[in-house]
Amino acid sequence: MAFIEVKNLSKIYQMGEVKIKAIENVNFSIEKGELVVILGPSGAGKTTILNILGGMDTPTNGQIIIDNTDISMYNSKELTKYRRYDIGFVFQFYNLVQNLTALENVSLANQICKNPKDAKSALEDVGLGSRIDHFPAQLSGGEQQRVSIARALAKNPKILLCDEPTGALDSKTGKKIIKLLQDTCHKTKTTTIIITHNAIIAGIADKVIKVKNGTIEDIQINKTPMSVEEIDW
Amino acid sequence: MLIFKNALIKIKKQFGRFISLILIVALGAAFFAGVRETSSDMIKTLDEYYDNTYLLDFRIISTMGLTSDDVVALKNLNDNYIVEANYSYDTLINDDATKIYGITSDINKLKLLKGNYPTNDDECLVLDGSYNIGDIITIDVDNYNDYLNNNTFKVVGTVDSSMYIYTNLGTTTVSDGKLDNVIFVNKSVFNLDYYTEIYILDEEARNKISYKNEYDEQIKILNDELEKLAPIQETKRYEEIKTEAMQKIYDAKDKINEEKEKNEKKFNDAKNELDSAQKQINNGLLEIENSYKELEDKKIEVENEFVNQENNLNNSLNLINEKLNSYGIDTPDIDTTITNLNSKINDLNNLLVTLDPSSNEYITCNNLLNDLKTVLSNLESIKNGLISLETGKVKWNKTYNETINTLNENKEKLNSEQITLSEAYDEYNKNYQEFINKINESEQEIKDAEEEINNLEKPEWYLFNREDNSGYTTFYESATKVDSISAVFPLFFIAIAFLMCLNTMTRMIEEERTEIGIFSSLGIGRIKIIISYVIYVLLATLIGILLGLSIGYTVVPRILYKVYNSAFIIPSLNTYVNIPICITIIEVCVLTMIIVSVYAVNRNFKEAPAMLLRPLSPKKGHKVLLEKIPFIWKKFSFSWKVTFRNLFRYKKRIVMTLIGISGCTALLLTGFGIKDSISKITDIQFNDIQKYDSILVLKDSLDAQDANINDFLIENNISEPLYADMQTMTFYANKKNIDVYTFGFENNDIDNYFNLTNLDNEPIHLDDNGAIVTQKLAELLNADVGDTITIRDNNNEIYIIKISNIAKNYVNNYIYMTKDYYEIAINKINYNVILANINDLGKTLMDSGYFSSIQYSNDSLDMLNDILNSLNNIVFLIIGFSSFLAITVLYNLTTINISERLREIATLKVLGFNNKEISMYVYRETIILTIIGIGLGMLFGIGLNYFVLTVAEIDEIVFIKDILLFSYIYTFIIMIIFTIIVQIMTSFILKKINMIDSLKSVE
Repeated sequence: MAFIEVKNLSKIYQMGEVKIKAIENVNFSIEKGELVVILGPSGAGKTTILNILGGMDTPTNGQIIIDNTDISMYNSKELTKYRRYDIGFVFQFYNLVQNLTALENVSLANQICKNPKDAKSALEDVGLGSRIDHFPAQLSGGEQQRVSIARALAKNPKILLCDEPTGALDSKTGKKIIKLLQDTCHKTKTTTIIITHNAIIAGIADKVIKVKNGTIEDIQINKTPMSVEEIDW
Repeated sequence: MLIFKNALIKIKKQFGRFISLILIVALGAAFFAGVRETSSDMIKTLDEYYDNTYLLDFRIISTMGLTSDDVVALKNLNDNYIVEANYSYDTLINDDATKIYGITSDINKLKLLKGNYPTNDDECLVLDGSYNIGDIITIDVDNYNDYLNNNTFKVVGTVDSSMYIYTNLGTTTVSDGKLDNVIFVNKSVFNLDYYTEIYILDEEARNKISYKNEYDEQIKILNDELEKLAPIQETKRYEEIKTEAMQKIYDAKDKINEEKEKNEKKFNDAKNELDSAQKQINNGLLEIENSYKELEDKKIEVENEFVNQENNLNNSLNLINEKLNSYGIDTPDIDTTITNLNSKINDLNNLLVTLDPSSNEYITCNNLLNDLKTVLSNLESIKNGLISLETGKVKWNKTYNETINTLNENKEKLNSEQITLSEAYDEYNKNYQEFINKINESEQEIKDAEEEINNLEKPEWYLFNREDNSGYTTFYESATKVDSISAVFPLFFIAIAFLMCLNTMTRMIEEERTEIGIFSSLGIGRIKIIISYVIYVLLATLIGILLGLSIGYTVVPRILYKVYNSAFIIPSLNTYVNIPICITIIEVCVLTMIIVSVYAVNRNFKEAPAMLLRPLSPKKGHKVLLEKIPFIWKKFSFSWKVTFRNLFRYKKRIVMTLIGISGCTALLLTGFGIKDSISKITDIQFNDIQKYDSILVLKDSLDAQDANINDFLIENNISEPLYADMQTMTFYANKKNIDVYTFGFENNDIDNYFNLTNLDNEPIHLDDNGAIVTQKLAELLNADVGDTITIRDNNNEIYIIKISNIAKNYVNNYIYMTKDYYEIAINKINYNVILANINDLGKTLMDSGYFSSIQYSNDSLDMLNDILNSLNNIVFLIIGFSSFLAITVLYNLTTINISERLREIATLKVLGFNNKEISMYVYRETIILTIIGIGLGMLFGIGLNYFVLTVAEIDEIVFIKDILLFSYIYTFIIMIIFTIIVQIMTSFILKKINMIDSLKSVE
């Protein structure tokens, strides 16, 4: 069995009389240590998949089996635990606590998990060893995203979920971030899922899941994923 | 339209905040309007009650009663004056000192609650809550019939009287001096020939609001007129009484004179009669004496005659006898002689016969015979003479004796008559003396009466106005106490409310910065955008104000009024809406709110619309000062470090939060502080400082202790009475005359009854070099030990007093002096009161007749407590409102805090923080701020409490401005509870925060 098994996943929003199917009958599986890109245009339903995978939302139907555990029926408390211990989240807008230094932002996540990485080394791992005492406002976008990644990784998560990690960054910095994610994935064997509308990024993934109109359009498996340097932005 | 819609959307979006804005405004407005309006509502309600019941302006009492002439004179003063005369009589009913009034028709109308008015003299009305309808009540004393026709009444109705709105009915002259009850009977029950009182009411004054200056000014006119009229009517009454009395005296004199005359004539007649009888007796006696004398004279005369006749006869007899002897005829006695002579004659006759008639012999014999015959006839006539002489003698003697007897008898009779007469004389003298005595007595009586009339003091009118009614004044003092507090509090309230609104608006506009940018970039005019916010604010403010005013004008006064209902018998409150104040409040609030929002929105327009479209760059993080002290900083756990960072991140929010929390804390603490102060001062004043339980007012003032009174007091186990000369004087401060009681004590040691300490709590004692004055007086006059102060008595006489010490004191102003200093500074001492601890012997003391009244410390304490209790209610209101405000403020601040950090919190959620951790992440700050705010608020509260109490202190009261430890604890606990409540409320908001928001771009 795969590390992540998504079976017949549907999410239907009830808006008054109207039912809106965000995703319907989504099936895919992800192996442990894989770098997966979920690709799709705006409104395709990839964010819904992310929300459900990230434990921020529950599906209307279907199963998500992660490491042999079905999280689809989790209540909010269990979901919180799931987010806490199993998920590392990288946001499009970094979502750093402005009031905390880079180190502290990482420590914030460290506080709550069982066997966290050392915050400082996590930052060193993302190449910010020299700026650990800077506040987010003193860091560039790319640097902030690195902090965000360090924060996610410091938790030693089972899955690293990245929501448009390059969305707010210029291409050069974006590349660096993607590279960081790829390197990290390969190095730490952390299952990494990147959600993006940017097809170019798909090249570096082990597996690309294309989403369109709430359904899986295609799942490609790259036997030889490109390195970041190879992709053309 | 769009703008309006937009405003509505804003409301919908932040409904909680909108509601909290409304509530804050409403609270401010309600408190402001309510507290400010209450006393005026109360005064208006009472004024209406007084108007409806035609409460008197003046009650006139005279030392000699009042007459219908007085009524007429008063009526003639002014057509607007309603005048009614009435009777009252203080007596005992069921051992209660009870005042019986006549039922008036025009003034002091009663408010019939149950039953009906008396239809005859056997029925009465009672004050509500004393007796029940159907009860039969009987006067305890026997001499009622000097005043009343009847002593037993059936209760037929219960009433309220505007004269008696206070549970303390006042004083009386019977029983223990405290009036327990009042009943009302028909005037016809009274059998007095004068009125005991006259009530007068000026319609003009009735139209004015009682207690207000306008009323005081109006009745001042009446007062002046009455004072002018008083001497006239007093004189009239005086003349009338004098004339009447003099007439009585004249009548009495006439009667006496008439009596005297009548009796004197009678006595004279009797005397004359007696005298004439005496005279008669005297005459009789004199006559008798004369008769005696006459008789004796006659006796002598007669006896002399007898002797002469006898002598003559004897002489003749002797001559005859000699002759006869010469003839040889024996003459032993006349009868024998006659016999012998006869025999001789016979012999001669015989001889003669024998003899020749012509013989010589014969002739001789015949001559002899003839001679003898002549002798015989002589002899016989002598004999007859003698016999008739003897007969005459016998007859005389008989006559004499008879006469003597008659005279004696007459004399005896007269003598016995004399005895009777003497007795009659005695009787007469006795009666006459009695009569004279009686007349003298009567005359003396009249003389005394005359003297009494001449010494008759003029009657004096006493004018009592409403101020002399303890209910009337106590109520006012209670009502205005609310005012004194409301002077500061509502403003404070409004200030907090205003700050909170400002805070809310600023935050809202910050949040909607992008929207403003969009509108602005779409070319919508600045004014239109501003208007959409103004509509929002106006809606909140107007709804808040209207809600606040409607609560403020209805509920708040009623809540505050409730306390008065326990101490006063008053009608239910009429609430009035004070339109000008409403308009002012609305104007002020609306204006400030508009200014606030226009200012906040306008600030945004300084930036170009394009800039506005971009999110406000997040506030930079900073290291806090604390981090520079590593040994402390390192001790904090990570979450606390975060908390401190966050705390100092939004300085404005800290300030607002601290102001809000500390403001509410200060209000709460002040509320409790006022309560502390109120609950303590009366007890300290009347139990700790002034330890006597009553002041006995002497009927007659004394210049030294009175042994009788002392004996009497000792008999009743009342030890160590303290004689004092107590006067009410005034001093001038704060632009008015303020009352002060002066005491001159007989003893220099008054520690038994006073516990005087200076402001440093050291005991102080009286000495002869000056007076001890109480602190408020010293404070008002800005005087210190060694200074002199000036006081006046009610005749405007000025006295200079030297301050030897200043004593702690909380209620009233006092000047304490030794006898010696009193005589130096004021006057010759004249003891008019005795201070003592009498326990429950009031009645015994009053019955003794030594005292005219008793002032009980407990009564003063109760009265003051009633006044101060009115503050208690406002304190509860303050505490209630402050609590509510505290909750709203905390809620408002917390929601703003959350809204500012929505994204952060959503992120934390995504990172897997559980609810508790997230709540704590936010609340740690709130808790720290709350604690700091409480601390600051307590400091602030101490000041506010001091300020409010200082403002609330009137000229006769000093509040203790210390706040009890418990109040701090209560305040702390309440604030913490509110914080917890608010956190629980906001935890729902936290729970509702959607994690997915964290994914959105920064707005």
